[in-house]
Amino acid sequence: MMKTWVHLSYDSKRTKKILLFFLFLLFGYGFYKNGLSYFFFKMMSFSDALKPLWFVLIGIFCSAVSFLLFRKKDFYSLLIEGILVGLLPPPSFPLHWFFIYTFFFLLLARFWERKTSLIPMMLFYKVGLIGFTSLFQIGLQNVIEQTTPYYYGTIDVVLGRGLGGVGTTSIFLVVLLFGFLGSDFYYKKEISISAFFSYTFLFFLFFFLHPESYLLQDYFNPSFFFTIVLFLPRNASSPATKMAGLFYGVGVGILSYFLIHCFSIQEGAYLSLFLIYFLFLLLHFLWLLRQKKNVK
Amino acid sequence: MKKAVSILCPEKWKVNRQVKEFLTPDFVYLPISKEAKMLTKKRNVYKGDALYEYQKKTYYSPISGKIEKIVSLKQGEKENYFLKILNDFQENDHYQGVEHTTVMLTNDLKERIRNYHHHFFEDLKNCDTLVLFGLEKEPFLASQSILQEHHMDEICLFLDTLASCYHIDHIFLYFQENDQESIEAAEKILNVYPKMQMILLPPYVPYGNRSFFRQTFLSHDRAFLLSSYEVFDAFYELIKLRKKDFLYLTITGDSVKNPQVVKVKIGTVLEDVIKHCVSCKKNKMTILKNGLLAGEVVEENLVLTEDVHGIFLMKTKEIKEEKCIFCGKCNAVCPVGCNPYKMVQTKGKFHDSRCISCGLCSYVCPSHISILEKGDEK
Ligand code: SF4
Ligand code: SF4
Repeated sequence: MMKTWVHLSYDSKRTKKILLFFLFLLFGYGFYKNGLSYFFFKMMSFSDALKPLWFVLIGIFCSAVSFLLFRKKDFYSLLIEGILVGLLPPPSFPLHWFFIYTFFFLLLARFWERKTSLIPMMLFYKVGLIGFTSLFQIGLQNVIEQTTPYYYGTIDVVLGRGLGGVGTTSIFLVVLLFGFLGSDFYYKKEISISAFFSYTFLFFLFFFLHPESYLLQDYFNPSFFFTIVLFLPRNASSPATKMAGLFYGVGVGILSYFLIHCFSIQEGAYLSLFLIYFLFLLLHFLWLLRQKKNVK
Repeated sequence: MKKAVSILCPEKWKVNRQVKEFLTPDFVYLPISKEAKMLTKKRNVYKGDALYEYQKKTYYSPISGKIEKIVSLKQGEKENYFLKILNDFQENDHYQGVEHTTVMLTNDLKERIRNYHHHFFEDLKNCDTLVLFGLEKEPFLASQSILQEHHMDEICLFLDTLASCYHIDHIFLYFQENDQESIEAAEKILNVYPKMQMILLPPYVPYGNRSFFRQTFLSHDRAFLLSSYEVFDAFYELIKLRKKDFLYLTITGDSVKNPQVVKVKIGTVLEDVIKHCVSCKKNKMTILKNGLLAGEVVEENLVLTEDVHGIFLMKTKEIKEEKCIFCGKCNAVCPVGCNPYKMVQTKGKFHDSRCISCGLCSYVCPSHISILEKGDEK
């Protein structure tokens, strides 16, 4: 019987370290944008400025508890999950609700994880947060932005002044992260790229057809870039074959465009990924069923 | 150009190219079965004597000695039968060959090629190009390279004579870019053969896979492909008028202190070769035949036949298969466009007939799923 004895050495720790490093940077920026910068200008008290830090600490705490309870030993994954969870809520999300939601969600996630790796937990988590924010009508602006008139130019938005989760707005850092992750053999960059191009194509098509209705800075939707770099190419929840992967990416790109720019859902990228994910999951099961029938 | 992957042989597994010889085993074993038709009744045989015919192949004695008996050896799950011959160490033979030291040989060789009825010579009539396939199947092997280094003059002489017998105008020698020894050996004599041209390919996997090579690099049907092993075997047979009785064997792996190429008698038991030719580390070993990407797990009682080119003595490790994480890299890397992912999802029930068993899909699989084995399960 033929056997493969050697395997490509895959340094998953390297990828985790890169991810962790960038999550720290994103957190650092989110902390500055939503807290420290206002504190320096005396627009916010020190305790209020610490809110982004609380999000991350709560995230790490909840993640640690769930890891401990389910005897999962992976320090890097724990930190990644904890910080990521802390970056996703809108800056004005109430801390106590955040704690309750995160705590129970992560426990449930650990339980599900043991059954299947197919479910993209962080995406489910974020969609749950979006549900919360729309139910309680929590905006994506931080408390200062909610009360003070402001204007940000395109460069500001690219650097991170756009609207989104507390630490997900820096498109610049996210694109930089893509540059690093892209060198990882197991990162499905073609899916991200196909989503990016389909979204870009549609945006500029309508931008040139109706220049009066769009601003260039609308193109830089932080949630879209964050989604296509961190959530979209996740191995377990995206198609395994290249062609299906490309369709998946294009589907997310197109749907994101419509949700963001036609239905004005600022975080529409997460929702579009959520919907396309279910569509492809269904197609995957149908395919599997057919294969099983065929080989019988 | 089809897909290929660059895999380099680790420095510590590189073999010593000073060939060690082990041509005096106490016994040799030749594979046999009840259906074999005996060609001799004698018990005392000479080297090169035809012994029996089995599955349309004639088996010759690689040593002179005494036929002992038919023995059964348990190899893995299977019980295999072998004809055991006791070596008298005399190396007696009915030698009729001509020493191939002069160019005069060419005419003699031509005559012999014309009279020689071998299946592949028939197909040569319709060909206009001869191609020597001198690439190793895997980067960890060196047997073909050693054969080329030591016998390049015979290989080239044979190819040239074959070409002139069949009015073939072009001969291409394909080697790996990093196989310096073969390249140097060829460069020394290429000016003698104006029809010959050397082509170098990067040492990628699976360029050394014959069917992949044929599909990828031979653009037309009228090119005739011969490996260095085949050329040398045919040359030996035509000059010595009997089958080659030895083979070059690469013995390497992380359990070997002195990786080595060994010249051994066909029919020797691997255990004897290991004992005499290499020193091993004191750890539990798994032995693989002919490769680490697509090798076969064998035992120490393996009998060395012509198709064994490499033996890998590897520290036994448990390769833990995890669940498929749907990364799709197996599909992405497959050089012939198979769907190994589908093979995994259908638990081996689907098997793609295009698969060339190169092992690249299993090599890149982060879950260490042995996709090759899944294919075999069918
Ligand atoms: S499916 Fe076959 S040909 Fe394709 S990579 Fe795997 S072993 Fe090689
Ligand atoms: S490479 Fe392995 S883990 Fe990835 S899709 Fe193929 S079988 Fe699954």
